[in-house]
Amino acid sequence: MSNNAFIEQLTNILPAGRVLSRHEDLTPYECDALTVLRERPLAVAIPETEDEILKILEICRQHSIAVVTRGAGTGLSGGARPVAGALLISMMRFNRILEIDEDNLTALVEPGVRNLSISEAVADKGLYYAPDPSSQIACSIGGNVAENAGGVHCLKYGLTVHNIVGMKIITMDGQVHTLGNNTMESPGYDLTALMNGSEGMLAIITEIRVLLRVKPPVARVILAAFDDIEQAGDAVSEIIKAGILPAGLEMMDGDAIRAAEDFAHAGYPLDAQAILLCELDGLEAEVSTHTKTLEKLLHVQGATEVRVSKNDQERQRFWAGRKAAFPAVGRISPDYYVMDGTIPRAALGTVLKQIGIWSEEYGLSVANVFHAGDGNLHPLILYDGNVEGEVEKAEELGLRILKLSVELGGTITGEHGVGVEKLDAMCDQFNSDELALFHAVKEAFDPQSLLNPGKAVPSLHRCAELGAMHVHNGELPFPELDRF
Amino acid sequence: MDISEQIQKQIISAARDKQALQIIGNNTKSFYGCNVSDANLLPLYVADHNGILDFQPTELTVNARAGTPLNEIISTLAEQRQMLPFEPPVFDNRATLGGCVASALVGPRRPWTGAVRDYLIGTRILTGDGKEIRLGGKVMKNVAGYDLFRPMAGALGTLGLMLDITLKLLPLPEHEASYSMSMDINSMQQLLRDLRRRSMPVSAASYHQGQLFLRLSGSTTSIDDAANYLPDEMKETTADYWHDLNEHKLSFFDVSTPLYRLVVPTFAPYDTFAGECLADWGGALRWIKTPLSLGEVQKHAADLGGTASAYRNDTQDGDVFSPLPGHLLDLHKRMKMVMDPAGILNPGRLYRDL
Repeated sequence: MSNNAFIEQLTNILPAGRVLSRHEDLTPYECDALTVLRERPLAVAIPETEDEILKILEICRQHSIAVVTRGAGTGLSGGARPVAGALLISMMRFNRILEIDEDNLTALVEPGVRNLSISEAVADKGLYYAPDPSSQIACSIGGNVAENAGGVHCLKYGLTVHNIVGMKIITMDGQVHTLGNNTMESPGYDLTALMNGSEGMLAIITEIRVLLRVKPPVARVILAAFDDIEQAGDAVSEIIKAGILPAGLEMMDGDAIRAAEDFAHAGYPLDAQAILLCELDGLEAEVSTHTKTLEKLLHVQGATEVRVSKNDQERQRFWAGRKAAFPAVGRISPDYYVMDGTIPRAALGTVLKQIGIWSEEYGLSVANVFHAGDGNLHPLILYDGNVEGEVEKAEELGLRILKLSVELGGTITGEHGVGVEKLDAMCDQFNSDELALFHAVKEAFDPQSLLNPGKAVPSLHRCAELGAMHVHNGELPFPELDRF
Repeated sequence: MDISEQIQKQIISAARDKQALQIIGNNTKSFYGCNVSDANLLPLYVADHNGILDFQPTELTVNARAGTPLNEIISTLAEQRQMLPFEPPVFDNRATLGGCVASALVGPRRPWTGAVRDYLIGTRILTGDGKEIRLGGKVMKNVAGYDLFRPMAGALGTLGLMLDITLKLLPLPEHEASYSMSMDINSMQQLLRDLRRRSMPVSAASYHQGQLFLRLSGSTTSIDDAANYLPDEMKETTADYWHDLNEHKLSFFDVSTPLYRLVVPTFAPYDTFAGECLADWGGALRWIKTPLSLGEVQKHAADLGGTASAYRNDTQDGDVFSPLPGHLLDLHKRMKMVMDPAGILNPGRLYRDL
């Protein structure tokens, strides 16, 4: 049957305006926030009920047309980038908060609800939803689950997966499943965990039960400046060793500091080579004691300046620079490429040094922003897409950083997901047995491979081809580096 | 000691012969899960695969072989003032890390710190066809590939045999204090709500026969502050209580009749059916002794919005965990097929049909 017949069937299910198929209507859906990778979908469907999704999936099965689910489109790895010839389902009309359960500290929400609006909806009860990816003002909770999004408070409050207690999903065969429940445990396999970070490849999520937390009475940020970035890295380890668990522990290097300061006027010391932002939260007594301990510790670790936020306004200002780091860097360079590798904290100094060497080798500046407490790095590789060959150079440098992360015992992605962007890097992290297992999981949920096909897990064929390009005579790359 | 090669050989040969295996660490939880004593299972002993492989206090993680005794891990961590956040029961100091993760049984701290799956960051497993697979890693944030490591927690060994396990840790609290007083259910629930609203550093709360037990954890100053909010009748008591509760050494647990384990909403009503109840996790975990059958208890638990399992001394041969809807059980079976195609790893232990 033709595509026209498919689209006509869709228009029989959804009212006018909720099926898009004209060229100009599809353009906004060509990519997510990884804008270099674009693809036009066959059509866009915008359902608002579970029943509509079930009917859409039925037609897709009939025509063997693939489905890509999209939330707010803020993803950084192309997870929601359309697949050629596939239907894109936008979940943004699933935007209701269905229930707020104060006793169990949970809320039942639809996937199109914006991350920040959950916290806004429960603020009057003294509660909030903890995960706070930088895009929280725009990103949807469904997308957060699909990518297992992080943020700046993961060290203490976890990733998205730690803050989701259940969900309702629809598998490609049209079966509705409820996973988890509204208690602290549910019987059977933890498929809720499996759904987190599955990038829309196993099922479509229609409801999510999120965990809420009581807003801590006090939160304070310590800003410490260093004139040596490795010293700042060591200070991070010392803070952890001191038995204090900060709510957030972030680091920026000199280039990132200056870009952020210029953009957000956060009051960062412009001559510093690195700053640490360390948030402590909890009861006044505990926060005060820990603040004093850390002030001392940071001075001992060589901080040239230590400031403590005096009020919530100042705390927000300290964060504003960090949270605006990406757009800020966007102002100083025509283009930038964000990496997301995670490494054991102890390897921070090694990695920074190596990134510095490669930065010179490639002639591309790299501004570094880290979730230091989690060992999650966001090197921003600066390049100019109009200069021939620079995109390729940036991508190659990025891939080397990811390979290094894997070599040191880390991962290619801490919170942004694989999507289409890191498919090649997946071949470095996983062997063929492991990748085959991932494919088998996909098949168990979606035997026809109609949900977001080709994302997140590379084909063994693709890795074999890459492997042929990267043979190193059996030698370990970077033999000079310690392994952690 | 590393006996992974030997274990791998046993699994490969069992898969070839379609010989189902029963994974046994130190055999402290043989009572837990469905009764598989009638099945023709070949024991697979794994306790000798033990030893802490890596513990870096600055990383706040530990990596150990699955046969490592929990108490060895707990005391090693404590030397650096760190802990397993979910306070697992250690079953007379014999329980192993692998059994702890496979059963996902956790202690009184659970509501305030989280479950096993919340701290599991990676595991190396052998699948049912003997393939060695690394799931997750040793860093806290890792979203590459499907999350197949967290589902290992609570799968009772049915999805793979864990060789080694990496967990995220937490600092040991600087100080802890325990309290107790008698109060009625309403006052108890109200007090727990108040303490939570004020972000008081509660780390355990149990209730039995009108007696509330409470533990606070944190800096000395914050505990002093918090203690001021407690009713005057609240008396300081010994910390041993929590150990005895967690290890089922309290006289309440001294029974030969079935002991049921209910997980319900924290503030669900009590006394909706006949039986004696000891509540842990601030009320979210209820241990019940009752003449009712498992099916009846599960129905009552469902009415409260929760689930129930037969923990100990239940002699029937059916499923012991709350039943899954048919289509969800089918999805479980497909997952089991992926991880253990020959169906030889602990078959029937989690659900009879898995």
